[in-house]
Amino acid sequence: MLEKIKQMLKVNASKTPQHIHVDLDEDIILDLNHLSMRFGGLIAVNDLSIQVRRGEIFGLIGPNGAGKTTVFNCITQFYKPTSGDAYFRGKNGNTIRLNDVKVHDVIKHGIIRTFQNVELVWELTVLQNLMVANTTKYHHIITRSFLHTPKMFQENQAIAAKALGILESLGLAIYKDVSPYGLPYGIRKKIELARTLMADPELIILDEPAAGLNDKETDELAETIKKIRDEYQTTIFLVEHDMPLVMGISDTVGAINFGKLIAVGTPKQIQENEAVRLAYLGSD
Amino acid sequence: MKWAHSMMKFIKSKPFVHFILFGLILSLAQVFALPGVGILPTSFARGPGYFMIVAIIVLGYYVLLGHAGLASLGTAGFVGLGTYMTGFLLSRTSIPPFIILIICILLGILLGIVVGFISLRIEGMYLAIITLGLSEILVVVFKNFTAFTGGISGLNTYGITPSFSGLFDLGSGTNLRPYVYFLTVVIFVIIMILTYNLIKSPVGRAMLAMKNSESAAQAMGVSLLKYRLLAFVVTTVYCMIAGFLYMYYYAYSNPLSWNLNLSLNILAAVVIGGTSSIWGILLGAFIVFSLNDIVLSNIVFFQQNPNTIILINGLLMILVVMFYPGGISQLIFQTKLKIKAWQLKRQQKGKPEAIDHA
Repeated sequence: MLEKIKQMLKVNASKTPQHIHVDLDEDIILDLNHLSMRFGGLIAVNDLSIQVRRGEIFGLIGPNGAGKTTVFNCITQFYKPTSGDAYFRGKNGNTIRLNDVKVHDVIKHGIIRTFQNVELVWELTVLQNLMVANTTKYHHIITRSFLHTPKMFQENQAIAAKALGILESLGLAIYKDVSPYGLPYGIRKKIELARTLMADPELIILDEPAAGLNDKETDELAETIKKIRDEYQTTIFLVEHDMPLVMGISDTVGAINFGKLIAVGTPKQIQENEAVRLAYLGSD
Repeated sequence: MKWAHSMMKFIKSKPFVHFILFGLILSLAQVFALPGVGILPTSFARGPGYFMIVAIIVLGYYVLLGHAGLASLGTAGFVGLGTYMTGFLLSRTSIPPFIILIICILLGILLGIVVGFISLRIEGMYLAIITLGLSEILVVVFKNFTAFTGGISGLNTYGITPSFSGLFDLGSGTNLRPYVYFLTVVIFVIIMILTYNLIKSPVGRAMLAMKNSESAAQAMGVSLLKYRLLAFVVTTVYCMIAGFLYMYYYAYSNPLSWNLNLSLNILAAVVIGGTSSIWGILLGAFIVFSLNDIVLSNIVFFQQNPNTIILINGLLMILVVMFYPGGISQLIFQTKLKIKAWQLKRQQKGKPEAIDHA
């Protein structure tokens, strides 16, 4: 029965057209190639092409409803793009087409995302919340979980030690044994950032990390994001409304409006760009 | 007294020892009630026997609702299927009971996979309604498929003594109940241990993440397909095992027993028990299913007014949901914390001790 189901799934997967194999340059980590996403008559993302370089902080800005979060959902496969491709080049040098990856397998390739509203599990402690991000790293997870074999405890311990290390490096170790419920919002955001690090990420996708934070917390968050990029050698791709934050930490900024890319450049170039100004303020 | 201390330490450190001890206590109820012993009336063991069978179902439902966050109202139908499967094989064939148990488990796995696939498409209340429909279809089948189920008058296996394939045949006409009781204790303890292991494991964490937010769980690498199927398979397998034991213990199954009422009571047991510990769940099962059998029916007031028992159950449920949404286990946990804080206050002049949240 399982074999049959697997076959059915395979048939479904092979229905999507096969694309020519692409190899990305070494310094490009993510390449969106003429990506489009339609919901019925609404075009949320329209023929968008962006390249993110390895090791940079890329900020994506745009007015409300410009399609920023949809772009993220297309990369992390919560939505399957209507047309166009997303390519990702891992550290091992292989380029993969993300459209072919299942949503829960995206993390295996080193891509992890956060959500606009913090999605932590209240029933688990902070440490256990971090360990959830390593679910795919356990071997024979179901049988070992039922039987509580020593192997499971070994793996558990290794993963807990890793989680503790990450919490310590972000200064969150004091919260490790409490539920995230009731912790200040800024701390919860940091815990969510810490959780992304559990996946040994190459690309971290942050969806409005500063939403709902006060100025002080936002500054701390900016420091944390920079620290993560430098210490863990990752690439960060973020959507943000808080302009000082985006302009302060990004190496490259892309601006989109109505699903179309209107400008890419350094923060300074974007600030001086006429099209961006028009998109935000409108013409008279 | 040193050995006693180290013994206590061992018991405290290994959770499965608690479950085995609990099983031993439960089997004492039957030992005292054996016809030859006569410390307790022979009928006494029926209460704990029923409790264990129901608790197995409730533990399965706890994994489904409390951890995977999926609501099902089809529980009763699945248990019924287990009883009829067992009853049919027992009365028409000479398959030994352990093979019947394995057949029931396999059927449970199949059923769990089917319902699990449904749950990938349909969620929340709609899933509950679909499973309710499935359960009602099963009940209609039980009522009308007379050749297999005995129809509306039910299926009974009175007087059939199963062959244990020569291992320890009991001889015809033996009262099976004590033997089934001990078998139930063994299976119950195994299921408690397995359930405890499952919820205190990476799988339990993944399920909680899934319950909290599907999209976040998927982004963390939790496959909805895998864990939803697993949750449903656990539930249906437990239901089938409970059905097997029920048929063995009571030797009778009636389609009217497997109605929505039972499914709702199982839901109530999980809600009252709370989702944070197995003991809370067992307490919930006890309150909903066995409180009237074991405690209340021995009190004169309730014997005279049997309807007030339902009233008490309903009242209890309202109170728990209103004041302790985390269930009775939350109440116990909070009381424990309060006692610890109080002890801490008393000890403050001595060496201070940190409250252990774990």
